[in-house]
This record gives sequence, structure tokens and C-alpha cells, in this order.
Amino acid sequence: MIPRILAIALLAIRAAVRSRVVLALGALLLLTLLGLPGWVRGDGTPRGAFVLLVGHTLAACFLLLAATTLWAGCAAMAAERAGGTAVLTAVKPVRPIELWVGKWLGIVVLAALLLAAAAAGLWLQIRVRADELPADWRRCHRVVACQRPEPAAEAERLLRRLRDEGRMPTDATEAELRAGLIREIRNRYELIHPGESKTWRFRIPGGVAAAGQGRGTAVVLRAVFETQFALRQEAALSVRAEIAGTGTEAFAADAKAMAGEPLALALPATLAVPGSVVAVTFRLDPSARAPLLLHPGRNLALLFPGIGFTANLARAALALLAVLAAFAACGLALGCCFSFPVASFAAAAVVLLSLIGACTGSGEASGGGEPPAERVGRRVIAAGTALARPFLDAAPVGRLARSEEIPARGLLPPLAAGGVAAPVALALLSAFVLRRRENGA
Amino acid sequence: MTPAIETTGLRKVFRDFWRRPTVCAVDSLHLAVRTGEVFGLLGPNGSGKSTTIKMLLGLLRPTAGSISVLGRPAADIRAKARIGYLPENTHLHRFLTPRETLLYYGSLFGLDRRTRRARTDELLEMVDLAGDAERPIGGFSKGMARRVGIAQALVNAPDLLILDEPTSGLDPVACREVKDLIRALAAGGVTVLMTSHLLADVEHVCDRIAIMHRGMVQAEGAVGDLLLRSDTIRFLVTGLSDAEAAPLRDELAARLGRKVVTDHPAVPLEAFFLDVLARAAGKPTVLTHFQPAPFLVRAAHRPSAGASSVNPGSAA
Repeated sequence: MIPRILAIALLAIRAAVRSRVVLALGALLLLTLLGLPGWVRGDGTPRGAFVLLVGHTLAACFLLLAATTLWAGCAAMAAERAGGTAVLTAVKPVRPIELWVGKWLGIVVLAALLLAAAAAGLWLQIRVRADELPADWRRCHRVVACQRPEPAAEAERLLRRLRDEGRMPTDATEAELRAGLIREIRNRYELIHPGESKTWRFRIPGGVAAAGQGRGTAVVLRAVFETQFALRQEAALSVRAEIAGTGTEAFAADAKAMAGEPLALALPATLAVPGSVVAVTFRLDPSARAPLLLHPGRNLALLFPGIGFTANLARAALALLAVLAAFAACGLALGCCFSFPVASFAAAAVVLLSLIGACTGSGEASGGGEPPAERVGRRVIAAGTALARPFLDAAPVGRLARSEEIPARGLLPPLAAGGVAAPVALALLSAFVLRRRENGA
Repeated sequence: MTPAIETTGLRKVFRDFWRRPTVCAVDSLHLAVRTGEVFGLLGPNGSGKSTTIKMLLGLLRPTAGSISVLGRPAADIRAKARIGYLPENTHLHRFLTPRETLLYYGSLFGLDRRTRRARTDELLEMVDLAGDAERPIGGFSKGMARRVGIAQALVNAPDLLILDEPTSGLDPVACREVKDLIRALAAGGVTVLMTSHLLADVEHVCDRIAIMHRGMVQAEGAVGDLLLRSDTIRFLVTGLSDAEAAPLRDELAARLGRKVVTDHPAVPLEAFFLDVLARAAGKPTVLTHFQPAPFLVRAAHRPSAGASSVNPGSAA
């Protein structure tokens, strides 16, 4: 079984290499790596240059690879069937699943090689342009977000309260209300009025604290405040941090925060006690003209020293490879079911739906009285979102560009989904289709 | 002995997208191909030959009936491991060289590396492509690609060889070689099932044939039995002139009281072509080995067209 799979994989690689697909793709990747950073203008800051170089370039390379992988998956099965070469394979003692796995493996190996080449090219670019980049680009930081109530549980609590108080709206179903509340909780901004204090808590994971202290680097508190109507406003804040429950203040400082710009405060490493909960309190100066807005999920975090950029780049590449593996599986399955043009069209539709779902982040009920067509569209987008979620939650490109460590545990969902679950499910489906399909060519 | 191929009541109805029957390609086909024989499946276009072969190979599912190939169901992996197949149109991977093609198909049969390489070298030599073994097949002529196709059908040293139009696209020399190869394989115990539009090829090579029309077998049997005219006797006499033959013919007609036909036998074009090539290459003529008779006398009920004949009693 294994030699047959390897032979088929090798054939898939040879087909791509000798049809000049790889050559053309390599040229496009090179053009992207060299041309894009020079063509797109950054914001003039070293951080902006880094985001552009890392984020945009890697995203563009990935887009190219994703499109090609999907297309290659469709072609590997459908075009071979149309060309008649599938007949000679079908009469050999090869099981449909072996054929599928061999093709998938070949495409994934090729994608991995090209992705590695793109990552290596990016790494070289960064080395060459190190002078233009921020001083700390070599080290990523690990992000610890603040503790927040679970949106579903919080929504349930609010619903219960509404029910108890007899204030349940009558123009929407309970499910629609719950979905709306969850959406609202996820996107909810916290308001700090002048003279008001607000506290958020952070649970310090063991590995993070030890690594941070080991490297002798302070913990950084990062917050990005906003204002209503996006006014450019500077506000005076007092910040306090302590290990919750001890009552001993470990850090206190006054700071000035410019709305829309990150506020970074170095906290003492003594706060990073594994397993402890750190409470951070912001108090807005009573003289402030307007309240400050803070999205705790997105804009408030403790930053610990993390792994190096190269290791983080490798993790990002691994997460992206998981997506490419899923794309290859998707293309192959479509190629098994349909002719090449239909499979390519369907593949494009799958990608678009996933992207729309991921970009809009919707798929949740907008309220009562929804027309049927809208409901169908919403469900399709919801399916796309659900499909894309395991891969996009790792957000490898964004994290890499923001110098945030991609947690090793965070790689598991995309790897499990793209490297195992999706290929296994699609391989079984494809094997069933291939077994049922008559090959009369 | 178990037949290499056995079909019982085989039927194939093709259906359209809405599952409505469109054409019955094969109907009530009972076929038994004995182990070690060369069996020819003949018929005009659309008679169901290729559909039958595809069902035997598991590429198409029968609508009704049963198939046994080498004692197993048609799509069985273990049966496929012992079958070699040459399709009517040789669709090979154009980016591969003949050597890579044979190595690839060898690995699909699970041959170990050493066997695969040895078998590849042997087959490339056999189909006369050793000199072009490293060129991509995409640049090959139809005949050369056909040779690679034949080689890939033999890569697993099959027990059953299924050949769909094996000589299609080949020049007469290669045709002759393929026919010799088929006979040699059959002599070595390989069962061969072949189809061909070139009836002369089938006649030379096959032990038994079945003629299909509209999906059904219209005639089946040993080639010799089917073609034999047991009510007709033919004398072959060498070195006889027309002048010498005429009185003999007349006397024979008078004595038998039947029509007697005499004519000069024609050399088959294939034999003549091969002889021309052999002589051009400075080799001894091949015609004399198998075509010694320049004059032929046939006693029959009816004269054949173009031959001189006399009726009983009309001889001078």
C-alpha cells in the first residue's frame, strides 16, 4: 500500500514540475517577495514596514499558493480522467483511497516545499532590511488576554434576567435573541467615564511566566483606548496592577494615552507568578473631557517574552500548510465528483463562501421576520464560517506581523482540521465516489 | 479447468442523466475464455466489444449477469494484479519517459525495485524503445506510444492479457512482431483476449473467436472450425503452367462431374511487405518459407470471383 501511495505522490509531483506549474508559481512567488514590499507603501514607521513586509507579503504568497493548490487538486483527478490516463490506473490493483491519498500527499509535499521557499525568501528579506525594522523584531511576545465571561453563558444569564423580569421581547424568537446577545457580547466595548475605575483580571499561565523571567524581561501591559466618534484625544490615566487577593500593590503609575494608539507599560516581573491572577485597574482622570472606550478582547493584553521570529515564522508556515492541505483535499474531492471546469468553479465558490463568512463573521440571525432567501444566504455563509473557523482562529499571518507568538497549542486546531479531519472525511467521500463512478473513457 | 474469463447473462444498459435507458450495449452475453488460449472478440463498431472488455476490467458495472475473471469478480484487486490491459487509445502521461512509465506502473503492481528495473529494461528492449527510453512520451509518434502501451500491459507478467485493438497505429513490421509476441505469450500459458478490426490479424493469432453484433454473440468457435469449408478440396501444385493446368482441370471436372476452379494464389500483402523489407535489408526472402505454391486448384460448388472456371461437360 505505502509504495503505491508514494509512487502516485511522486507522479503528482512530476506532473506539476514538468508541466511548468511549479516554475511559473515560483516566479510569481519571487515577484511577490521582491516586488510587493517595494510597491505597497507603509505608514513610514519601522513597525509599519515590518507589518507590510511580513503580513502583506506572506498573505499574498499564501493566496497564490492556496489558489494553485486548490486548482492542482481539481486537476489531479478530473483532468486525468478527461485525458484518459485514469483508465490505466483504474485497471491496476490500486484502491481508490490509495489513489486519493497518493495525489493528496504529492500536492501537499509540493505546497510545503513552495511555502518553505516563500518563508525562506521572507526571512532573507527581513535580514537584508533589518535596519528599517523595529529594534525588537527578532523577539515575539506571548499574549495573555484578560478574563472575560463566556459569551454563551453571559447571554444565557441576560436572557434569564429578562425572562424573570418579564421583559422578553416578543418580536424575535429566543434563539434569535441568544444569537444577537452573543454577537453583542463579543463586540462589546467597555466604557470608562471620567473619574471612574475599571478592573480587568489576567490569569498567568505557567509556561509563559517562567519563560519571561528566565529571559529577565519585564511583562508589558498593552492597551489601545478609543473614543466615541474616533476623536484624537489624549487622556490621563492612573494604572494599578496587583496579584489579585493579596491586596499588595505591585505597580502603580500615571500614564497618558492617545486614543487609537497603543499604550505600553512595563510591569515588574514579580507579577508573573505562575497560576496567579493579576488585576489591572485603569482610572480615568476626572478632568477628562470624554469617556474612553476599550475592547478588552482585542485591545487589552499582557505581553510576555516569547519565541524568536524564526520559530514564529515556522509556526505560521505550519498553520498555513494545514490550510493548504485542506485546500488540496477539497480540490481532489471536487475533482473526483465533477469534471475539471465544474470542479474549478465549485472550488472557487467554496473559497469565496469561506472568505465571505470569515470576513463578515456573520451567519448569525439578524432578528425576526427574516425573508427565506436571506435566511438561506445566512446559513450558507454560516456554513462557510464554520468551515473556515478552525483554520482562521490561529490567525498566523496577523500574529506574525504583530510580533505575537503563535501558541503551539493554537496550532493543533488547524493541524487537526486541515491535516487530518478534512482530508480523512474528503478521502472517504472521494473513495466512495470513485468506487461508484463508471470509467468508460 | 476453470475458464480464465467467464460471463453469464451479461447485460449492460447505458442510461442518461435522468437514469432513463438509452442503449443496450451488451445483451445476454455468455462467454468462456479458456486458460492459455488467444480469444478474439470481433464485431463492427458499436457491437459491444469495448463495453464487454470494460466490464471485464471492472471499469463499467454490468446491469445484469455475472463475470468471473481469473476466478474472481471483475473489480477484485487480486484479479487486477494478474491482468495486463492495453486500451484502444493509448493515453499515457505525456511528461513521463517510457522508462518512468514502466517503473511507475510496475510500482502500482507492487513489484520490488530490482524486479521493476529488470522488467522495465527487458520490456523496453522487447518493444524496441531502449534507445528512446529517456525521451518524454509527449514527443512520440502514435506507433511509439502504442509500443509503450504494450510494454505497460506486460509489466506485471500477467496471466491474462486484454488487448483492445493491439495493432492499431503500428506499422506492418511492428504488427507482425505484436502478433508473434501474442503467440509467444500464449505458448507460455498467458490467456489473451483481444479485439481487432483487422480480421487477418485475428485469423493469424486467435485460437477461438466470437463475433458480436448489437451486443450479442452471433458466432463463436475455433477459427479453423468456423472458416473451414469441409465440402471443398484444394490442391496446391508448384511449377505448373496455365497450359499444363488446363487439361488437368478439364479432366478432373469431367471425372468428378463437378465444377473445378483453378487460379494462382496471391501472396498476402503483409507477407509481401515484410519480404520487401527483408530483401532491402539484405536478408533472405521470407516468402519462400511459407508460400511455396504458385498454382492452386480448387474443387467447389461455385467458382470464386475472378478465378477461371469450367463447368462439367464444357471442357474441350
